[in-house]
Amino acid sequence: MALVTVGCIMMRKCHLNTCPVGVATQDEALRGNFAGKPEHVVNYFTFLAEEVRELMAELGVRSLDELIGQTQYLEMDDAIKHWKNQGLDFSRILTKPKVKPDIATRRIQGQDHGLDKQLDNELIKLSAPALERKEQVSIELPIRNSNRTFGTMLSGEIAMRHGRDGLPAGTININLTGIAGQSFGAFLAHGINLRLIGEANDYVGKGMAGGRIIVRPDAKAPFVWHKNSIVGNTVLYGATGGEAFFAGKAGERFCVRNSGVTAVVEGTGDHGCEYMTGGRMVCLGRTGRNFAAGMSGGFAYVLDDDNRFRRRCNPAMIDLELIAADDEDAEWLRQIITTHHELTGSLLAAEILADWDAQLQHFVRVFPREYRRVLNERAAKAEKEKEIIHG
Amino acid sequence: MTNHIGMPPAQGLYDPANEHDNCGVGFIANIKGKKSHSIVKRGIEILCNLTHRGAVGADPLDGDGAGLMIQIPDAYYREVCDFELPEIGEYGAGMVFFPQDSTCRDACIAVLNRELVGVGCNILGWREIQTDSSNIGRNAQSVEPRVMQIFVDRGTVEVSQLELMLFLARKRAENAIREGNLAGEELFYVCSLSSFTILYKGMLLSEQLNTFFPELDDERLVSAVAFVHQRYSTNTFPTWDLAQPFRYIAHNGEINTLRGNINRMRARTALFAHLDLADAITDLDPVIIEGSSDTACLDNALELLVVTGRSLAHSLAMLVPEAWVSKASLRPNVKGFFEYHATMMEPWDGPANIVACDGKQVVAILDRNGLRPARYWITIDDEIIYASEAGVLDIPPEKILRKERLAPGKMILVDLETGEFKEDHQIKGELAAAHPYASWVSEYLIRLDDLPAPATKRVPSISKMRRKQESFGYTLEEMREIMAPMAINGQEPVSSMGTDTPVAVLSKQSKLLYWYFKQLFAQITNPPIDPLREEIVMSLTQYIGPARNILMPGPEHCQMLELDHPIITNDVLEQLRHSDIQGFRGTTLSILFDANQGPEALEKRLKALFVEAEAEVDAGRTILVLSDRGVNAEKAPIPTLLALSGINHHLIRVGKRSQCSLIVETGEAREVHHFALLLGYGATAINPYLALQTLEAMINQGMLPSQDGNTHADEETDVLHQYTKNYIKAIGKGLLKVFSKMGISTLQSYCSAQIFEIVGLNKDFTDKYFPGTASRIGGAGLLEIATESLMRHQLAFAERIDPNRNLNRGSEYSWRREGELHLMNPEVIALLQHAVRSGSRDEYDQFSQQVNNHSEQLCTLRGLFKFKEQNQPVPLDEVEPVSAIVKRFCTGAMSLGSISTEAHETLAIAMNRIGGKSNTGEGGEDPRRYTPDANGDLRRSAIKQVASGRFGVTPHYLVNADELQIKIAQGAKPGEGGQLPGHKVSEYIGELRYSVPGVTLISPPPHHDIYSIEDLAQLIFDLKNCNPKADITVKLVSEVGVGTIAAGVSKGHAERVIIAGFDGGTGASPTSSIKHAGIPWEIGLAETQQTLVLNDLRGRIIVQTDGQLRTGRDVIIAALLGA
Repeated sequence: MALVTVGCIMMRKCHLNTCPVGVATQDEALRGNFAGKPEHVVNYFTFLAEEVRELMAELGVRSLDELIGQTQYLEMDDAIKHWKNQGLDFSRILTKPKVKPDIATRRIQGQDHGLDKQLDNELIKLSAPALERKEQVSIELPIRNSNRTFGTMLSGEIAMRHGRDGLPAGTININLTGIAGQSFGAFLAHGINLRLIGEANDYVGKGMAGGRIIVRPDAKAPFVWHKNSIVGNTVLYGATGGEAFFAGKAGERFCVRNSGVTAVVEGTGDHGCEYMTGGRMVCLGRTGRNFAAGMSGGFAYVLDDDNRFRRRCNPAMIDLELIAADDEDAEWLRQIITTHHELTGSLLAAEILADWDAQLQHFVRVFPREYRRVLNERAAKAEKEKEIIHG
Repeated sequence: MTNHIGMPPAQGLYDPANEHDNCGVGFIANIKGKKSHSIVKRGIEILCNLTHRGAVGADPLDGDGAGLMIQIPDAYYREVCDFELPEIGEYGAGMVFFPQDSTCRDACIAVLNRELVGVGCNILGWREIQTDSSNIGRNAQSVEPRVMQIFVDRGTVEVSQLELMLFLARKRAENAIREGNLAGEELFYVCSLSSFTILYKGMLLSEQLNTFFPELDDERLVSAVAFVHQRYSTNTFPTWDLAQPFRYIAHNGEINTLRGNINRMRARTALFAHLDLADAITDLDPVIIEGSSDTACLDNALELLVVTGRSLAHSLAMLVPEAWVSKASLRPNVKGFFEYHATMMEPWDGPANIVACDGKQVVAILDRNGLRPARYWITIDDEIIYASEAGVLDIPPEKILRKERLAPGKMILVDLETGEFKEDHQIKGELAAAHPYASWVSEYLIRLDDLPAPATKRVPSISKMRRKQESFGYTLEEMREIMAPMAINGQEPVSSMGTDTPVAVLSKQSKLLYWYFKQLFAQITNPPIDPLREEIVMSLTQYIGPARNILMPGPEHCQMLELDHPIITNDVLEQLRHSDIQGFRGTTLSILFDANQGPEALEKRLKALFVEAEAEVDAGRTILVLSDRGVNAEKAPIPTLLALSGINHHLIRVGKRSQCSLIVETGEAREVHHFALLLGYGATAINPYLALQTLEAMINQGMLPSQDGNTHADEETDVLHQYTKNYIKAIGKGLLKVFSKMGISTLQSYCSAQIFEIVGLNKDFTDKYFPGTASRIGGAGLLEIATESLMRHQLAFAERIDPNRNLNRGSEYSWRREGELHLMNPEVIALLQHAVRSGSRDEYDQFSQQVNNHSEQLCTLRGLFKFKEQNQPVPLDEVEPVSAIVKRFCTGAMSLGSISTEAHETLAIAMNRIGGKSNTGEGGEDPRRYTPDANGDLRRSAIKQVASGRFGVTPHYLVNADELQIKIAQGAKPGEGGQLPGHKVSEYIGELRYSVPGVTLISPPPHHDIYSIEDLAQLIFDLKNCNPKADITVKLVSEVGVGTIAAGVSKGHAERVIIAGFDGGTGASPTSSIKHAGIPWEIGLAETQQTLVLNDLRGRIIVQTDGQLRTGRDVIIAALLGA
């Protein structure tokens, strides 16, 4: 309705980008036709509210609250029935549940989220020098699965005080031991490094915008790291930036809808990099099925040790290619794996680096076709502009 | 249907059948079978560490249910029972809930005793279990059962048959007590009755389990396995029996196909036979106790398979198969195993992390799409710890040998008797090796090519086409807007701006029966699937043929005909119709009725059809073709859906349904919604002969190009062939979309699942022909439906009409004078725009009156309401001011991809000026809008949306909001994802969405962090952590059961819930989704209010609606219904 007040004439062309009144289009020329003004919207809602008021006066109530759920004010208008609808019966819509008088029929109290029990309250206190003066701080804490959504309140605090760019990299360093609960490092802001020795559950780094998350097993663990789980499902969902290093296997839908994080992992479950639009993902072990389904942007680099990676991919939107030694990605890859080794102590990373030239030949780059087209177009355009400047 | 004590009966729009639950599940076991009390103790500890996955009611001491299954602690029971126990294995022990009232309790005890003795057991005695309810919640206390244990000696029963006989005795007792109608019998419930396991459970919080059952702390109580479950339900009603585990399983997830599974199980019960049960087999009916939870039903099905001789792993692989169809790497014998079983059992589909235990083995399995988390650890002490998340027990890192997760469709098994831990590869290899399944399949399974080619080919006669089209209600608009795009592009057309035409029952035009049905879709308690990107889990394969006794399987069980697409051409239909292979004999039933005998003739014909159908089945016909060919001046077609569903339910009622397949030959079905309905109500395959013929006519009439770039003019048949192929392909894709919307991945499970809601048909009609489908506002009946059919027929065969006339142009999709009513016609739009530009209240009043009039002219349900005077009017100046009222207004969520920056910012400025709220929509917001402009205007949207694509959702975005809105579904296309094509992703939009301009952006159908209700609670918690000051809102779309979802949302601590109507939406959506999914907000809103109040959850949440509210009258009605 509000759209109509600013000019929409219901052409039902929203999906065609040809809206003639400049409401539902991104076309520059058509947008020039836009003639809506805030006043129009204000007028509409004011009229609407006036009308509501007048109706309330007629009904004999002074506030909208008095009307909420009071179906006794309504009845069916029998006068407007016709041959087909006469069997309609609204009694179930108009039923008022019979409950004790003390049961509320509209909102009278808030929800208790239990935020006061969050570890982040402590983090925010300990991070005061960083939050206020951008000084480096370092924090050590144990963590367990009931500590959910770790680091998120602190991130909100940073975003509130320091805006989109957050704090300088490495300002707040948090070292943890144990098993982190769900949503570890969700919506992480720039400037926080989380380092966890142990394991994490689902949704690690969901929506992270910056900072760094490292998860690795305890050095005392007798198992082979890259053959065991280190994080759960749906990790880095919708992340827009930052880095993540996981010394072990992740679950289903790793990096789903990632648009900016750089992540290294040692194996994933099904549907890896689904709907990804940006960022880079490096997998040093096997992936599950349906890899890169709906992936329209970003890159994935997968170590294909059994030459069967192709069969685990969803080929609809991507190309697979080998990485030549002189490809600029080759050096980037070596660097990021080196960083992974340094930050996590991954033995697998060490082995790969020790045999780099041979290992590089087993890496496959996943390159979304549309992404490649757009990157090529941009490069061509930039080239042309350069020519014009220099020419 | 059993009534649940503790749960209110259906009332108003509330129906307990819509309840959902979800949860955390886990177990700890000593793989070598070594029993200890430490296992029990740590099982309870796991439970306590899963507490955050459960929920509490209005009273913080009221949990949703918790439970623990262990092996029978023989030594302990031996010491505490005041009677002798025989050797372990020679006796059964049961845990039973009874009413507190002693008369009823004694009666129940007597029945159970009698039935146990009846199967040959001896009653050893009853034991009162000490319980302590002093610190459980008020609700739970109000219906607390008396908990007692029964012990029986096996008597004359063979040890190998003890479980089966205990099962039989329990079934008989349950049936007798249910039919006995004793006051208070609803509380009678056998938690477990077995010689291997015992179950402690109740309406408890995790930490209350061992305080309620103090004996759980007794050191003498030992077991090698402790299997636990913590429940989160969408209500606050105390239902002790619905706590999990059940007798074999506990489940984290949701069975989406339950209705169909129950119907199919009922149909096949008539064929049951078992050597050990003989005549007693009939006492197992009903196999599935309806009215309990989805998990309880699955437990019933699994129990049947297990006690009649299949292993736990075998039964689970049969009920919850992995996505084997598309899996190239599957070993042939394993594939054979799955294919063989697919012919006898449809998947119980939905998100599932299931743990099953029979005391000897523990098996865990994950659904084909991996929609629930499952992690496990194996320690150097031979222990396995399995749970919905890692870290539920503190184990020193040096003791952990393995940390794994269960992958989609995979299984693990712990054999406590042999001391083995087995993984998927081994388990399935062993299952597949039991019989030569692959060769059974290749020998018996029939494919289309095996049937003889059609003897006769039908030659379509174009001449009578017009009349036929008219009698099935074809319009030019449909052909142009719906069918042509399908034939050309191979997919359904896309449209935008929602819908504003009346629902079928309010329309004065003649509507096809299909229009009364609305597609249901998944919201929160289970996720929709992406049928395009996750195609590997989807399948359209179906099996035709008579079912057999599943309790005694043999090679011939897979003698079924495999069909890989449900839409069949005329040739394939002829193959089936004339098939005379043993067991596959076809016949045709005409679904036409006498057009000249008035509408009553339709009912007469239906009744006759039921008799004919039954007779054909009795005569050994296994393929019944329901055909409406042969329409003429005397014969009118019965709505296909009506004939089909009527016959389907009639055959179920008489126990003959599973002996035949129903195939539809219809001139009526043409769009995806029609086909989905026919499949949903029992058809196995559909031949849309008139639609296919119409495509040919459309070429002749120039509505479809007669050639395209790839064909030559003289290859007309090839063009037709291509169009036909595209059209059928579009239907297939559309069908996948319809059922993936509900989270269902295979047609086999969608078939007969009736996943629809009816708007506007009366109770008599639906009870008779569509039992099990919700229809909540009454409406038309058989007479009106017949009248509509006859209206079409008369139009087609009236003699005075010019034979060369055109088809009805139709006006469902675009407004046309004299056509279907549209709420937003050009006149209304002009009035409003004029009013707001001139600032004239008079002109606004004209607009408002015009809209209200239209509402009354039956465009909307609210148009049928009128206000009832309750009080004396009050003076206007005593009513709260405009400034207070406008604060309650919000604009709809429209993303900056779908509308222009100018429009978006104008709305934001306006709403900020009046103190209302505008909404970012999906797609982020420019941070430059967070600070006020020079003139004091603020372009920041108060409501920031969090949708499944999460575009632009950063901590900075989240903290700049007054309200964070989680968009679960949108009215125009609930349960579907979206796509912003590359050409719409400008530099600016790319920047806001953190993506590369020009690259297509896809929003997935589900939020990938919300596959169930406890996941939603987690996302709410995440957002609240990031911005503790913002209200968290959850946006739902109106459908049956939305109130129950809203209750779960309130328990998940959202501050607000929005109920949107089906009619909203700017975005591009498939036309069929715009028209056929979701229902008017009036019903959903009222259901939400009623359900929240019944649960005492209304007090902590604000309810809003969003569905084309236009005038003051609309606003008042919304408030009265609960917003």
